[in-house]
Amino acid sequence: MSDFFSLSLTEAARAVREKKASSVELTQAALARVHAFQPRFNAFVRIDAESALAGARACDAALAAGQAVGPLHGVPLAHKDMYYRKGLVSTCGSKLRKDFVAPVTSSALEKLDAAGALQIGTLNMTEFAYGPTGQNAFLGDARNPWNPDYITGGSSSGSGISVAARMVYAALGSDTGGSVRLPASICGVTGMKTTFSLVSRAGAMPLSQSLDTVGPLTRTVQDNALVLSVIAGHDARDGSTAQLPVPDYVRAAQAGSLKGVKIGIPRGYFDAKLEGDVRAVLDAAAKVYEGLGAEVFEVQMPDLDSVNAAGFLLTWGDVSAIHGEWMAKRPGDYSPQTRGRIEVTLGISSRDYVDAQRARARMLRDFCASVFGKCDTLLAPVLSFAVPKIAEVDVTGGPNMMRILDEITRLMRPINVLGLPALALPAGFTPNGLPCGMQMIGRPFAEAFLYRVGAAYQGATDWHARMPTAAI
Amino acid sequence: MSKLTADEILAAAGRAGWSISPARAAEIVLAAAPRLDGFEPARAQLTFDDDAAGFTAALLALREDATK
Repeated sequence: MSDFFSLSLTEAARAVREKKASSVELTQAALARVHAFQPRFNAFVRIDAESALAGARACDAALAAGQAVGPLHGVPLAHKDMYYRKGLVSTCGSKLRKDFVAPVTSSALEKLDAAGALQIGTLNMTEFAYGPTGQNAFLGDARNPWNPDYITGGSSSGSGISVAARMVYAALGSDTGGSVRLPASICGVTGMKTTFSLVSRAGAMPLSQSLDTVGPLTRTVQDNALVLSVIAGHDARDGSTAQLPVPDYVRAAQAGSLKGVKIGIPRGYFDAKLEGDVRAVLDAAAKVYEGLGAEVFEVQMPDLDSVNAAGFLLTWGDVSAIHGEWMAKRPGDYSPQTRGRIEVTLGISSRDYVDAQRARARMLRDFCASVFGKCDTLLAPVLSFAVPKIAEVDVTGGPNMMRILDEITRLMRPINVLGLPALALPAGFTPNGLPCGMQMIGRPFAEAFLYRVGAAYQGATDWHARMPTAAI
Repeated sequence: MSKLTADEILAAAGRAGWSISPARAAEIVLAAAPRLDGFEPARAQLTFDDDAAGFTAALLALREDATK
């Protein structure tokens, strides 16, 4: 075996377990690609080659000694540079944290460690995860592996790149207002925005505790299910995590018939401003689902403009508090774009923030009744337009910036406010040659069901298997 | 619900120790306005008993049947 990066995560883990490939071989191959592509895509913040290879040798030795191994034993991964690892720097994408040595290891990384996964480095991200394009004045802009002139999406930019370009088999991202789904969709990989409270956020940098979620980016739905099966579940270190059993996500993520499944095509909100090229991709995806036996029909959306607006109020309240001290003492250490976005948080009152919190349960109940009373999942766009070039969104903090950022995140944020899971899937390409994704939105804690729906789609299509031309 | 004025934003910035110019405060008023307007329909539905803690309870109550 030599072409290690044609393997999925699931296949790579199996190859190690069955001793058809060693962890050292996989890790060396991963590092070779990381070093080859770093100048082009800027996916990594730090490359931990020595520790990763040492870990790989230990994994191979454990296997040779017949020790029990976890489901991700010896497989090289990398994660957004906001998941703390004790004793190492997590920049969180900012000059403000360039020397911040994490005092703890995040629960998500601890669970991946326990499953045998290796971490070969940390990944580029938007400063403090507060921005959807993947630009970063401190770390340098992340570059799309399909065409480096285009944005990667953010804030989990390096996660999208590194998985799409086959540098690693999976990466953790975080999603507060689209930060898993946007880079997944824009880089052409699979990403799960998890139900609020499904995955522990202990030891992960906060952006907005009201909305933050942890989720994996992978090439396939099966791979995504495998990672989520490791990181999901209650954590005593994060009291907000739900005390529910973790379903068998891997078992759910099998391609098959969708007979009896009801898929809603949103009418209202999601189709507003939808460009024709994106609509064509979604229409084709709907046809695939019909071919798989699903019943596909239109579903009228409730008022999501107010849900989206609530998302701003929630984010602004949290961001204002979290960044208050640094904005007073070190404002010049923020990039102009991030500082500008934080300044805007002064525009709401404490009552606005609390009212947005009070409205969430009602919004969720209304949405579930009006949408999931009719269908099992929604097939919705991620972006309403084709992926833009970096130059087209490089507005460095001016008033135009808010308008552009608003539209990039408009189809994302309501799902965070509602706390729902949404699986981003590669669904095709627009004429500019960039990937175009869709999101399958489900009821609270419906990740297993979404994996079933996503696996069926990927069993009938090959969009997820396409290789970025710039990364060959 | 009345919105914050530029003077109120300047005062809030002063209390927080943030450095904001009057022109920037005016921009913030404009940036916040559509969000606050957009939220008004939801705010209008709030009652005395709407509770911020109700959200996580609602998530659990409305959850997908894991056996599906």
